[in-house]
Amino acid sequence: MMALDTVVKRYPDGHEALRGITLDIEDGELVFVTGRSGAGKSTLLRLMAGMERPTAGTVTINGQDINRLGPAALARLRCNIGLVFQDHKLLFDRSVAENAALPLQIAGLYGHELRRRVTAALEKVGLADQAKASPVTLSGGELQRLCIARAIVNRPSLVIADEPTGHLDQGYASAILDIFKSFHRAGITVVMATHDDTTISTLAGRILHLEDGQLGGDSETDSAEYAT
Amino acid sequence: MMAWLHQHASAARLTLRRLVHSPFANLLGVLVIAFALSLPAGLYRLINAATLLGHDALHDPRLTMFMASDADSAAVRAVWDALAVHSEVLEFRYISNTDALAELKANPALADVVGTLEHNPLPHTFIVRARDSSPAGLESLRKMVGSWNKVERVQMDGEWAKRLAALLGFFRHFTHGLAIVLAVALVFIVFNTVRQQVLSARDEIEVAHLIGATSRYIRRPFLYSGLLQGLMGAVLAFLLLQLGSHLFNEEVEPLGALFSLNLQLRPPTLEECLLLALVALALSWSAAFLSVSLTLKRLR
Repeated sequence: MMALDTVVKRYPDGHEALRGITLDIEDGELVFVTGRSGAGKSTLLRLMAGMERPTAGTVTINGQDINRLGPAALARLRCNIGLVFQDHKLLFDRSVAENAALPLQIAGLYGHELRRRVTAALEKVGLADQAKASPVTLSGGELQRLCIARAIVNRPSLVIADEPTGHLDQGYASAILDIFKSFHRAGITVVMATHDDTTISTLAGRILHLEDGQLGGDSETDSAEYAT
Repeated sequence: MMAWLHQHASAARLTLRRLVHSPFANLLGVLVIAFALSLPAGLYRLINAATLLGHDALHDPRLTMFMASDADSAAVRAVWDALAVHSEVLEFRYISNTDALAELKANPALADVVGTLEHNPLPHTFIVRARDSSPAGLESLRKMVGSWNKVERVQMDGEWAKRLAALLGFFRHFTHGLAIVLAVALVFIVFNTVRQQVLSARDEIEVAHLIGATSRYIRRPFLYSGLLQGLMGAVLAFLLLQLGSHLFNEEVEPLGALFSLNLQLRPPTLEECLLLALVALALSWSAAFLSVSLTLKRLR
């Protein structure tokens, strides 16, 4: 699914966010990326999503080295990755359904198939009855669910989520984690950045711990709740 | 193919949505584009009409011989005979002072003035076409016939046309310059309008980029916006030209009739309209492309 080989990311101001990361992620894995603020979690996720290129080393997604891809090919690659952002990145002048439909429109889908997939995605996150509503009327948890619907509407094999429960209270966070749990069960690879221990204890998966831009730990966790 | 068409239709809908969202700014831009297009186009049409006016006189110059007021029929006859056998004269036409006065009386605008005259002040006149219409040939003939008995004055009809042509040449250059300045203004207006649209759609662009939109996909609605502005500007410019022609004809045509001149601006032809639209579309598309590319580069 994905391989990073001695990846370094250095920003123009000289700050080195990642320093020689090497790791592999297999199909269907559930991976947590943990670490303190500034450890490089978001940068790692951006590289995994093809939103940035490494300064050194290689990032291979679905067999494609992103350094060798042009801007258009990289954009097409991103079409097949579902992205969930902590700050949602939704368009508030469009309806819930229109927000969810955006990746499909970009991919060139239209008409009945587009409507069918949008409805299915909204049903999956429990927002089907609010398809015509404006995102302005949604709560924080609902906004995050809409963001997840937009991420999965294209049926991606990989979903990357950056602190998806970061701004949510326990109730909403639990509902969001249930959704990710269902994705994992359906065979989708999920990579999630979090600094919330509760999130990790709820789900069974692999933990990549980042420390100052380096991989400080690579372990497995298990959860009784998840196993049931 | 259908997906491609659908993406274009979707971009067009988004363009219209943005247009409706800020109608005042867009309308102002379209108005300025229309003026930028119609002003040089109108001037070109005016110059072309004036050029046609002087064209005949320039390409078929004639001499007008005015006889002295005391010239009798014998003197007129002598000139007639001399012209008839002159090798340098291709053809000539005689207008008696009686016929000239009758022609003036027939003009309703002058009939009253002519009616107050106690005697006919007009001279007998010969209009002569020279075999050699070069300036030197005409000048030679003018000198010769001017020396004949009872010929008071000989006028070269092409003189005013030459002066008009020189003046029109100047105005043509001026209009070229003006057209270039206004084309730059048009590019600047579309560039700025599209830049504002890109900046105000910053969030939307960021989201689209993050979830896999190509630069081409992101650029498309802004290019449509530029094209739409250009097209609307061209349509409005066409209407302004029509209105300008109508007002010009209404005011100037009666004036031209006093001098027996056909001072009339014809409506723009289909070719002219297409050229106007093509120029507007090419300039506005280029400006929009430049604007959206540079602004997106800056945003990233």
